[in-house]
Amino acid sequence: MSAGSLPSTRSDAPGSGDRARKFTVLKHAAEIRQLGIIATYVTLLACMEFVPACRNLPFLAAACWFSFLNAVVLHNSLHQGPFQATPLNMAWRMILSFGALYPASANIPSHNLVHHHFDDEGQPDWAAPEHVRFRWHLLNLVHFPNVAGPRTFAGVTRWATLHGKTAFRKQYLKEQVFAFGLTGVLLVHDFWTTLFFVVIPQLYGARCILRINLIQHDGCDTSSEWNHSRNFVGRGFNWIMCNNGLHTIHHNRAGLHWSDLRAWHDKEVVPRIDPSLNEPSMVLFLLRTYVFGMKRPAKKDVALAEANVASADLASRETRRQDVEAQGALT
Amino acid sequence: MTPIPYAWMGILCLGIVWTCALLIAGAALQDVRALLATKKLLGPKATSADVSDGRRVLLRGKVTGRDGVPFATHTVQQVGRAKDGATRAVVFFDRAFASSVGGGTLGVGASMVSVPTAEGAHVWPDESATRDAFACPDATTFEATHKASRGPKGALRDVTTPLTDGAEVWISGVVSRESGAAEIRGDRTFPLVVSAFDPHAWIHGKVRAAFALIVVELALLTIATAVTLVPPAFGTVSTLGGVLCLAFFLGVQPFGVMLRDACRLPHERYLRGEWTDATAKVPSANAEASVPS
Repeated sequence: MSAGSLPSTRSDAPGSGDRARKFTVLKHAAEIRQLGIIATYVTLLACMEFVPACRNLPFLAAACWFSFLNAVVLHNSLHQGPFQATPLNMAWRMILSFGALYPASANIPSHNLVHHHFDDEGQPDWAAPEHVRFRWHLLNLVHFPNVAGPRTFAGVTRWATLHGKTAFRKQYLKEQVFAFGLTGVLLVHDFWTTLFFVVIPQLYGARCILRINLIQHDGCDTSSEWNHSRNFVGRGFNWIMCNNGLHTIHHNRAGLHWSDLRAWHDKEVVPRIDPSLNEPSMVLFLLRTYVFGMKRPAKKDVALAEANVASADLASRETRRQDVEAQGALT
Repeated sequence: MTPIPYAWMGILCLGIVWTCALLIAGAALQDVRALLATKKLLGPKATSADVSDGRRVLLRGKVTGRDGVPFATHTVQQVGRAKDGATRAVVFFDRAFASSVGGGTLGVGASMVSVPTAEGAHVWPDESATRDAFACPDATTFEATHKASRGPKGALRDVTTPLTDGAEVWISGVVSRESGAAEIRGDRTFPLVVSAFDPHAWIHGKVRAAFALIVVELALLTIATAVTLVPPAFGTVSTLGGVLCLAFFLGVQPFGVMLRDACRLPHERYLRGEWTDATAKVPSANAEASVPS
């Protein structure tokens, strides 16, 4: 990789292997951050479950926050597993599934295929913002998982029955058994402690990651190439969120490792995106849009921003979807 | 750091599950409101075509098409994908919905109302007629479709439900007599609607279903909450209530979505469906032809 140039969009491209070869187990050095997030989360849950003194507000709040980060790591890991070895990635998915109380592999049809292309065989994305329509916009944010969740799992169930999905079904079942089984054992061990200090964080993270779809796409133009998503560009935020705030470039170049997204965002997205879709702070955006603003913001023609800019070397959505289908369910 | 009292966590959990239930009920009320707004847009039922010009009405009568063209047609564009399993099957996804009105005349009592060809009209077909149109016609079609469904683009097909001469329909539109004869069309607020069943009755049925969901949902949660609050707090009965509330929280959400889908207006009603080997009809021209094994 020459000085000043960007890494290739493929995770196995020249240059990316140099960093990975230092770590024979992990594909990329930055994965340590994700491992640390999950280790912290699981430790918090275990502490609250087994140590009564830990059942306090700071631990619970931290567990809820790390549950959300677990869902972020789950998202990243289902695009690219952090480990070199596939069996390790499959085991990793089981841990993430327990953390979110849903089978991680569900992300493959729901997120990687349908959501990334805003399309389900001609019908809307299972997590499209249009599925909620309260006038008080805060209710849309709270209610969104009640709609996107069932649509997603119905869609995953239909997709999983299709030809060629045997490996997916086996892994999906293992994740369900592990996630629900372990949670069930804990509930039998101590129902109320598990409900309050394990299930609440699990569901908090899972429901918040669904809400992110509304936050990142409501008011955007999902038919456009570069103005389909809202980005949250703060550096500290993106450090802990493993660059999940940089959503536009992630949609368009899903093969990029999350640690490379900033450079590509600056090069390809910034010149083509409406400035209103690059928010400096998610907290301020949430307060402005959902707490202090009662109504859903009016739609604006954000795609004008890309009209007069040279197109990037970007394959069509259909091609990108076929590439993901071809990649298969187990990586 | 002081541990959080379990009573507070219990109140929080009850707050979460009740918020969820009330939002689902609220969304169901949105469906009710949308349906009643549609009923208003369809206009009141009229027993004859002698209505004031420019008034939106719902007329019932028998249709006659033009020059052998169906009076109206509803089409669902589907893509079929092969299923895994011991029995060969194709599962269908709805890609798009289309309605067209070829036009003709509607006989309302003793009078005839002209129905011009209409762009953007909505055709509401009878559900059983659409299911019949969906069915696999013969084994040959199944084989060809199954083969195509294994490819990356899937098996594309259109499911067409026509409303032909003599069909009894309800038509919602604005009656005018500009050309002398009575004519019915859509208007700026709502397109022409041609329905194979009583639209008002359909809407009333969906409204009843929505209210039933709301009542049943809140009743079940009330019972679960009451069981949870049976003293002593966090005792055996209370724990059973907690289990019921957790099960409610996880189980209620799909019903809200099912209601929303059921309330889709009939021109965009989900068809989906599946063909299996056993359901491919034997061609009537060849009594010995068998369904693929």
